[in-house]
Amino acid sequence: MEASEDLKMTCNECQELLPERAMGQLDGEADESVGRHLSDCGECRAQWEILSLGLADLKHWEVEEPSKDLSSRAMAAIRLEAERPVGLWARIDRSLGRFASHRPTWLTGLATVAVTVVLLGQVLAPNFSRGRSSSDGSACQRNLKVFTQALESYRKEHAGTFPDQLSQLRPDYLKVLPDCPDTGEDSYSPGYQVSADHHSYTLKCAPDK
Amino acid sequence: MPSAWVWLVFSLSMLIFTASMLTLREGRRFLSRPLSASEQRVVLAALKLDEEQEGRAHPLLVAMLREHRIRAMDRMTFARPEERSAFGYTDERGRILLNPNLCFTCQQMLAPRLLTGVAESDLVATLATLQHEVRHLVSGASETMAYEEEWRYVCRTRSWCVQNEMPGLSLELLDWERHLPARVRLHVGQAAAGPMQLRIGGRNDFRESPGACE
Repeated sequence: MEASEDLKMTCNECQELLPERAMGQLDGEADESVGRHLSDCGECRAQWEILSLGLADLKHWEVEEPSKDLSSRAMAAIRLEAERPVGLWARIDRSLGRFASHRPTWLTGLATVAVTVVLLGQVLAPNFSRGRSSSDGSACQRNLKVFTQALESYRKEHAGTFPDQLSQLRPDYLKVLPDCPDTGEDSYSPGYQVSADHHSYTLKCAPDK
Repeated sequence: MPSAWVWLVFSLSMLIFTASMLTLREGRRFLSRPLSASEQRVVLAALKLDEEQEGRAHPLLVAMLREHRIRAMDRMTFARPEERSAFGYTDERGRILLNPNLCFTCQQMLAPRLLTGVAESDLVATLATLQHEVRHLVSGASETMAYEEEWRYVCRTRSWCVQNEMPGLSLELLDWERHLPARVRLHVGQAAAGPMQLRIGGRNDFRESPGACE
């Protein structure tokens, strides 16, 4: 049972653990598993031998002391780099790097989206303002003039009497009953009043009624 | 969270999208369409009246009508309030756009059997508007100058109508003239409106003006 579990260690897993084994940092159980895999797998064993030889060579390698002016040369190079003029792209990149270190939270993201939606709403708002008022009421005055003409024609054809309601003007006198362009609603019907004998009338745009 | 680059690209694309929408909206403020047959009849009648009254129709207006450069405003969804209430507009391509809701009101609303010819109310609105707009086109006149010329033209035409016994038309012209001071005040300002009326008729009693040139 135990042997079948050891066999499950793949070559990749084994080779990942080889550097740690070479440095002596593997615990006992893992070390044994890797050892067992190495005894069965020729390819991994070859890798292990290369690694072991390399480490053995490193132990005999003599490290030279750095020269005494290394520190001053390094500082001069850094100073030179700092004084070099920075290009536009490098500046943008640096600013973005700084921005990236303060990554926005979800709250900032939501705020950005909300601002965008509001901006778009402002841009597209006139789409929904078909009935928005004109500035000087000219269109309303023109409508009243047409009503007057239609009412006059009605009177001529009805023995000098005016209709009870403006809706009676359709379809013989008016193609449509217009809404007031300034209020966006039919404010003429409430503003129409006919006398008891139907011989006179008053008509005005009455949006508040 | 997305990286700073993603935010940058997102913000830039939103900016470009918003700018495109604004451009689209501005472009759609002055949509226009060719005049319909009945509207063209009103414009023709207006030019004919101009010809009878002045001796010849304004050559530029005749040419513009022939070249279909006198058009009607269309779907004023994106128009501003002052543009909705404008009778006419001279666009950047040198075309005159007439507001069909104001210039052809009778054509649009009255039952066909009542419209034997062209309604005088439409005729006056169209003629006065064309005369106003053509001043902008011919001499690049300011709004003040264009209104003054329109006012003078209306006065002249009304006198001619009275002389030629055209009571319906002269009444319509008088009505138009009655509303002119308010429109001048609104679009040009009180400071310019008073002196204008004095220049035209020697009076500045706006409220009860029966017609400045009487």
